[in-house]
Amino acid sequence: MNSRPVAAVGVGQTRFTNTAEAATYPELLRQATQTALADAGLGMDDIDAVVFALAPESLMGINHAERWCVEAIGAAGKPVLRVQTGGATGMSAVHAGYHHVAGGAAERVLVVGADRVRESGDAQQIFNKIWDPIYERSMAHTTISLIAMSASRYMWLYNSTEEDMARVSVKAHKNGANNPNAHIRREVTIDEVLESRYLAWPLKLLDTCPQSAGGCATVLSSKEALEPSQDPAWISGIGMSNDTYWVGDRIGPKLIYDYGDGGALEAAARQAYEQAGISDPAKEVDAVETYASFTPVELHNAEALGLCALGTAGPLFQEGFFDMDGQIPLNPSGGVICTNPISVTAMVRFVEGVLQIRGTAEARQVKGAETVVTTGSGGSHQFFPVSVLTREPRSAN
Amino acid sequence: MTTKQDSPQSTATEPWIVDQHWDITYQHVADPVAAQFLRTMRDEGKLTGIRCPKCERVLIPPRPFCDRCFVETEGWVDLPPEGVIELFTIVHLRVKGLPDPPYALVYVRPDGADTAIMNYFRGADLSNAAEPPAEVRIGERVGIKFADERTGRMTDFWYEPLG
Repeated sequence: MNSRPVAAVGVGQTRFTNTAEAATYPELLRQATQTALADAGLGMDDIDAVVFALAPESLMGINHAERWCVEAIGAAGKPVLRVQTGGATGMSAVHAGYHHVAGGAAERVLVVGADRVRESGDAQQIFNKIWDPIYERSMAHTTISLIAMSASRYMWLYNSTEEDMARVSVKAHKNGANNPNAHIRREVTIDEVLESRYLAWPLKLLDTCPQSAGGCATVLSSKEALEPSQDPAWISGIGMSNDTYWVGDRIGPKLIYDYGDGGALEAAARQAYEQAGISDPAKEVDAVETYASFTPVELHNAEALGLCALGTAGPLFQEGFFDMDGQIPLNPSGGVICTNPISVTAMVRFVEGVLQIRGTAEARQVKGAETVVTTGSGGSHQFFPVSVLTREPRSAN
Repeated sequence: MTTKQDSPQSTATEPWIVDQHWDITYQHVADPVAAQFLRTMRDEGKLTGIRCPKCERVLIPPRPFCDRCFVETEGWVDLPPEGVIELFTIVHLRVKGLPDPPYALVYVRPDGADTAIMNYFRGADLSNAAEPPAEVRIGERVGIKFADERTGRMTDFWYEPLG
């Protein structure tokens, strides 16, 4: 791949909250945009193009909302592009911005989005409408039952337990309590998780993300356009892969990736690691912000990202390997378990990665983080974009 | 459209809420392969798969093309009313507009097929939320049952304990 180095030079997040407490949708976009521009020391006139991250708009209830929000994202008079890959949207939008700069089409790109997931209160009814209308819509299937099936498959493959999942939740809530932007900021005990009510076996309420509202933005820049005042975090590798829509194809003797594993994420990470010159992620990665809207996903993501062998994440969580003071802190921000504003959830992973690289993540800072892996996940547990951020530019391109 | 808190008592700090409701009807058209699958299911009370001529996978639910080989599928395969559970969950969450929980959703790979198809599992005791019943586990063999009166929808069949 022949491309220019790209850095993140500005980031902005609103506080994430319940939808009822949040600003309006355009206002969340404007606040995130202004925060990211101020952080970069730039004005809207310095931005060449805008990438707008918006997942299914039926959650917040305004169709074709990029039309409605052009002013709030400062995109009037500029090229604008909407990106939608479900939960992966925020990271796919970062990738679209990256390609604009890397390919020379722009010097600086604003990537921005927002969500108000509980605008209707019927999110899972909306998610029932994502399935094939002929073959699958007759069943009461949702994104919760979708991931519950992956979780029970993972348990079956590796003799993993509900306690393994619960430990992910305990760690996530502990980290989230350190994050002033997190939606859920309270610690939980393993017993509280295990005693929380079942949504879809083996998933319980405290294995699950909240429905959050908030905005997020980042400014990406070419090396040539860097300002002396900026503290760049370099995008040293990106990768994206996906799996078939048909979950029933992800089993049996002729499968490509087992539905219990994160095989497509592994393929995406491999691309990103190769570009960033990472050969042993377990040794070379300092921190990870991975998209796991349910606790069992974090188990198989850790494995897919090459942080540990297949089936070993559960015992490693028990040992504290992925804790803040462990070998590879996983989701120092508290992750998706504490905050899920769907359209920007994956962008928050990226932005939190930028803060880690800069060393400005405050109480959730991983000391000396120089290589941070950030991932998104969307669709039928299907779309997996990955970005590797580094302190120094070291793209193998 | 109705507005709620627009009375003179409304204060500056209260949220000003406007209710909206979407009521949308669709008429989805099945592709010819899916239509044939549903017609066979309705008229003959059996499931069928379709073969990819290149990788030779027998696909269920049947589709017009194989997404791996990117070639058109051809050749129907009759599948027996038995198979194995590959994926499952027991749903306990109540969602507006969906059936009352609990219910079991499973993907079963019918004997002779290379992929699995989702439907309800009926006839198991789902009352213990913490412990799925022994019949609803990965690797368990199941029977595929058909309604006596069939309408050509996926709810014409379901899974049951074998025997």
